[in-house]
Amino acid sequence: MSESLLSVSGLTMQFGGLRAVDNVDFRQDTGTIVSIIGPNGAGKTTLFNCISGFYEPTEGEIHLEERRITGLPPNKIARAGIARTYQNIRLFRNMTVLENVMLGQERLLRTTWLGSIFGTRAARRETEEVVERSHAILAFVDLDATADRQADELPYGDQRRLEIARALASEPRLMMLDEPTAGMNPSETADTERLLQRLRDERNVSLLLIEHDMRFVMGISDHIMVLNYGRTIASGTPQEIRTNPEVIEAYLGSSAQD
Amino acid sequence: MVVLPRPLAGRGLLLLQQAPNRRVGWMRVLAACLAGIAATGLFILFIDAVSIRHMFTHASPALVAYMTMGQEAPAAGLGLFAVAALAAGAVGAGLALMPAYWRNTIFMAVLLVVGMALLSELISQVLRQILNGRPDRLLFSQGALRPAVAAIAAAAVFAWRGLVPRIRLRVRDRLPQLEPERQRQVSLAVRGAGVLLLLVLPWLVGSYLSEVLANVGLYLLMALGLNIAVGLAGLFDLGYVTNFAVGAYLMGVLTNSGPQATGEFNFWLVLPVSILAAMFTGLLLALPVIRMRGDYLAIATMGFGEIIRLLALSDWLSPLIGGSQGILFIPKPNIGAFTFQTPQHLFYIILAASLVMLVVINRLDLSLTGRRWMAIRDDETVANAIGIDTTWIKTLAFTLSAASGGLAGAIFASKLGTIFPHSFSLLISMNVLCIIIVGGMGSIRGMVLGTLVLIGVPELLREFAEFRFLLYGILLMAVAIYRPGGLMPARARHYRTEPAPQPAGGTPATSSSAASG
Ligand SMILES: Nc1ncnc2c1ncn2[C@@H]1O[C@H](COP(=O)(O)OP(=O)(O)O)[C@@H](O)[C@H]1O
Ligand SMILES: [Mg+2]
Repeated sequence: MSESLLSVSGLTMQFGGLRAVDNVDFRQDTGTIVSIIGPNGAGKTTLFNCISGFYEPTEGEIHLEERRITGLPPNKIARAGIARTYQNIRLFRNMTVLENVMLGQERLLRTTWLGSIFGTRAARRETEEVVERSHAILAFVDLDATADRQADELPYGDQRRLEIARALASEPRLMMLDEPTAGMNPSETADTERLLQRLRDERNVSLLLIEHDMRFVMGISDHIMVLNYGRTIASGTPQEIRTNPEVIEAYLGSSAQD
Repeated sequence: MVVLPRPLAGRGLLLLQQAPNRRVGWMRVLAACLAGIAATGLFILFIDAVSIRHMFTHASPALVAYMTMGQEAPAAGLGLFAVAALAAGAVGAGLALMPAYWRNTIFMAVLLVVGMALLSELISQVLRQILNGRPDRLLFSQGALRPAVAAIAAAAVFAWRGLVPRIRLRVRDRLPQLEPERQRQVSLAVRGAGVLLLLVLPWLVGSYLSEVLANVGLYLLMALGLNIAVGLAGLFDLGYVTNFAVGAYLMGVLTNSGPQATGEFNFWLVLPVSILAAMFTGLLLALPVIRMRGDYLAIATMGFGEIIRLLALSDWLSPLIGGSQGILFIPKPNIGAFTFQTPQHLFYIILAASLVMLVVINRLDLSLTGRRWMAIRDDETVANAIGIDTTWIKTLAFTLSAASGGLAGAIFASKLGTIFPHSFSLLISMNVLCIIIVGGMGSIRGMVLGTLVLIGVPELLREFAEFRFLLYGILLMAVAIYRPGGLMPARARHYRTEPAPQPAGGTPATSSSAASG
């Protein structure tokens, strides 16, 4: 329990008559990569939305380390150290690439509106620090050359990586990525997968990942959870999942056919 | 008689501009001219034969005479008319067919000449202000522009068009080569010259234009303020007049020496109080609407604007703020024995307020707080999910945005000396919003240009005052279609980190440099 980073217990999200997430339990340890797989509509994104505070779960508890974060507003949860990306890219479209990453650092900032108005020394210095850190992060995801371009001018794959950079900028304790390779061509997918590996190896980020690319998921995850109709139908190491008959039937089997 | 061909030339030009290529263009001009001649000819013959004056009072014999250029028989006039129409069409077509550079140059020259002619009175006044005697007689005779002057003005436009790119090139080549110290000096000198020009401006342009500039300044203050909510944070606030009214009424109540006299406090004492009161109102009104988005927010804030006007009108508050009688005898600002009496004096107060607000807003615009606002504008949900307390940051936008409106209102009350509820109508909110949309949302330069165009120009063209809102409508549509970002769209904010730390030789006090952007 002491090294548990995220723990979710009995989580249920009900939309009218639909239980999009149904009594889900899981734990993630610091420094690990956990993947959630499952067919479309299984409730994976809904689970993310509950954890990041977009939805208030109908039942259940969510803890980040010892802190109970169930039902907190998204900004408090972000400040607690959870950053995320979105299945459909959601950048600050009309702002520059650099500004997007600057904004990602919000939870680390101390500048208040008074500092901004009076242009205090502390506010100016913090702006400079933020800009410098942003360039470093952009360099890490290989986007620094585009720093001054408007975010929505970037090619699709770069926008996805920028979203990861924005999440990384907050130095999160847990980073949640919702289908980071969705809609990418094979070479962009390979780039992103390499980036996630570097996140683990060089930045030691704990990742909670929704991903469809089985080969990749099997390779990178410490732990995999399989959702179907909102329920956890299997949970274990990649090896355990690969050989689980229920999983093969419900998910791997069907995706192997198409 | 000169009037007649003008619309035809315009029509030819318009048709040509739409034409995809030149050859088709010629055909269209011809077609347009012929169609125009046929239609107008028929019209002339018709109103000559049948009297329709009971429906169209202007369809008089005089009109027929005018349109047939004074020829007795309409048929003879029609011949002349056709020739004129063809000639005009040819002029329009010629304009459309020439390279854009020359067409634009000619347009500018025509615009300048027409502008000078329209503003003859004003220009004469300004000239008489600056120079002794009647220097305006050089330009105008009996209120009309002298042909020679028109020709010189047009020639000047051509010369200017030729020179400007060259000067710009030279400056652009040279400036980056200068040492940073030198560059700073140049930029300081340019700014100093600008401020100096603004300082002498009221005495150059005289009392009437100073009044116009003062009004422009008041609207600029409001535009800069509302721009925080609308342009930066994307909050469509249609009740901005509320802040203006609060500032004005507070100034009025606390300083007046009329029936509503409360303490006859000093302008300078009440000014910050007015600003704070407006901010407080902004904060209070933000609370109920802060969770609304888009249209709902616009409607709700519009409601506040009306509520404040009705409150001002109400009998309930009239003992305090005068109801429909308004507040009278609001003194002008003063410093010791000196009173800011004339528009020229008041211009300086408004100029100072505008400069201060420009500096503050510019800082906010580049600051981390400004980034938070823009994040909310782009995607409020995501802004919240990266840790921004969106409720607070939006409330802050409303509150700070209100400050500038309160400031404008306070100066307005003191400048006018009297305030009435009907001065605080929805139209003020609309005007300010128009400035922001036409000037360019989130663009500070756009606010300045927008205010000059939407407030300054209509004040100058008093003859066309009734058409002010027509102009707004046309401008709004034109901007929406052709320049969605406004006349001067907001530019991307670029951040540069200092390449190397300054040598730490000087005292800390001297190290204050330009803005961080
Ligand atoms: N806000 C919502 N309101 C109602 N139903 C929703 C909402 N969000 C998701 N759902 C439903 O919940 C189910 C799970 O959706 P989702 O979590 O997006 O699936 P996944 O991400 O696994 O593909 C779907 O049937 C979806 O239609
Ligand atoms: Mg999903």
